[in-house]
Amino acid sequence: VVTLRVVIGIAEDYRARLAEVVDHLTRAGLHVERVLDAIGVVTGSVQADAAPELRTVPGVESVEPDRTVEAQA
Amino acid sequence: VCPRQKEGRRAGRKQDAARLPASAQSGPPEMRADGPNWTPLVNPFRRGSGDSPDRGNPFRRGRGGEGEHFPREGTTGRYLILLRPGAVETAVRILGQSADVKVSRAADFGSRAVDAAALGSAEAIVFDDLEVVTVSTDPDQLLAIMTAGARTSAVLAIEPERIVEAIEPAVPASALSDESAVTWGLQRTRAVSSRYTGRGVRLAVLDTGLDLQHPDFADRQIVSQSFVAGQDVQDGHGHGTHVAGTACGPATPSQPPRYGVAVGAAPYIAKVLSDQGRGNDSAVLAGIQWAITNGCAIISMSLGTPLCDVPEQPFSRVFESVARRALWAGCLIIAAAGNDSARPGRLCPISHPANCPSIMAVGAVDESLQIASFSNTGLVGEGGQVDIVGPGVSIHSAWPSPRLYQTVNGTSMATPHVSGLAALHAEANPFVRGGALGWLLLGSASRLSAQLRDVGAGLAQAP
Repeated sequence: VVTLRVVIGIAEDYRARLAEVVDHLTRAGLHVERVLDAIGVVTGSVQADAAPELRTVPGVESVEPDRTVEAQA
Repeated sequence: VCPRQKEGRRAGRKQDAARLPASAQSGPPEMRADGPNWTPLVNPFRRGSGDSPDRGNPFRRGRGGEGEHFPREGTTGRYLILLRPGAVETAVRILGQSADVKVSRAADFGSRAVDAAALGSAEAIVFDDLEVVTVSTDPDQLLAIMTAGARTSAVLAIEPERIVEAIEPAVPASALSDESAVTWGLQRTRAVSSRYTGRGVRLAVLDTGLDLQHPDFADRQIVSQSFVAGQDVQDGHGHGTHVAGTACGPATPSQPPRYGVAVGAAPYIAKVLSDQGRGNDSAVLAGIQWAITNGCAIISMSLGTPLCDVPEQPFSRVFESVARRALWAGCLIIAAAGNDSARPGRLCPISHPANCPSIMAVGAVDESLQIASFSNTGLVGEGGQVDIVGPGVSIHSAWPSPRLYQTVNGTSMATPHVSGLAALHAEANPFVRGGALGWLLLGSASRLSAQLRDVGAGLAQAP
């Protein structure tokens, strides 16, 4: 089974209840790496077949692959 | 990731002439009506003011005592009279009858150009199309014109005719900059002549870390954090030390030239890229959060993911939301447009995450202000624009010991120039943060004649 690393944007009106959203994400199969409360983002990894489930969690605005970035020189 | 050597150093000097304003390229300059603002120095024609005719008349000889010279410095001794619309014939009559001025019509010179020599000899020239008259007359005679003008309401304003000159390029186009004391990037962006240093402004650099033992940072208060598992902030790559050096290197490095823009800023160094120069979104996001919670006004990110092979890919919703939240928190994110192009044949779109609308995307220019061959561009319909450019070719800055210094190319190098300049603007304007700070950077940038999609608002400038 393929594991995906993801970054998840949390909707503005759910940021005050971020812990609830994180609980819900965990139950949906997310292995949480970081909870970035100041910017409303959760990062972690999920099995590929469970990834679509994350989008249905209330308060989730967007789910994107955790991309590789490089130095630009 | 390899340093490129001196590419484009001597290429393309021809744009300087093109940067001259059109008005400076065709003459004669005295004919310009678009230059000076038509703000009347006084309005001597206002009825019922109760003032004597001489009161407030700046043209009256002898006012202001013996120190006053005529004509005033910077003026020709002639005057520009702005006429009420449709009042040309009235003005001609006033000039001819009331003030006994010899009148010529600009249209009479033919082919809509006035011979400069003829201008010198005529007493008044009427520019019918502009509804403007230039008059060479003494102030007493001018007063008679004004009095007649007041009766007929033909005259809206009278101003001394200014002497205008071609605006010289700030840097001679024929010579490369002397970098013995200061890098070309600091000269071209006027960072070196600014009175601001970014003092008190927290500037975050998200990269491969910093050589904490570098002599140029030895006496600097540095706040740092690594977000790369198993690696500390110490820069095992070089890139991070170079970009941090450009953003906020010292006023007096251990070896000249000076290369740091915001020498007084407080550096916040987040290691989000490994010693191999690679990282991922989650580390970058963690670095952004760290910078915001530490009160940084600026986040400089010389990193990205190329989108050349997936040009239709939309910008990241996550990063866009984060960037907006950062702006709301008073923090401006500035990121590299990316180096994937190879002009003239290959143009690549702006990299992720600089392609987000709320992140300022920085392209690179060389010393002659030509777009760098590698600098990515705004491609219509494919998301992401270049907002501004900075110096990004042949950039000298710090490098980890024992090398200490290195000259490299990249939008990575352009980005910390802009970030450092943002810190200068932030110091100069303590209440301007977030989006307003970005607006200030764009508004003060020096416009370039290069393509808009390559350079955006132009070359960032110090306040």
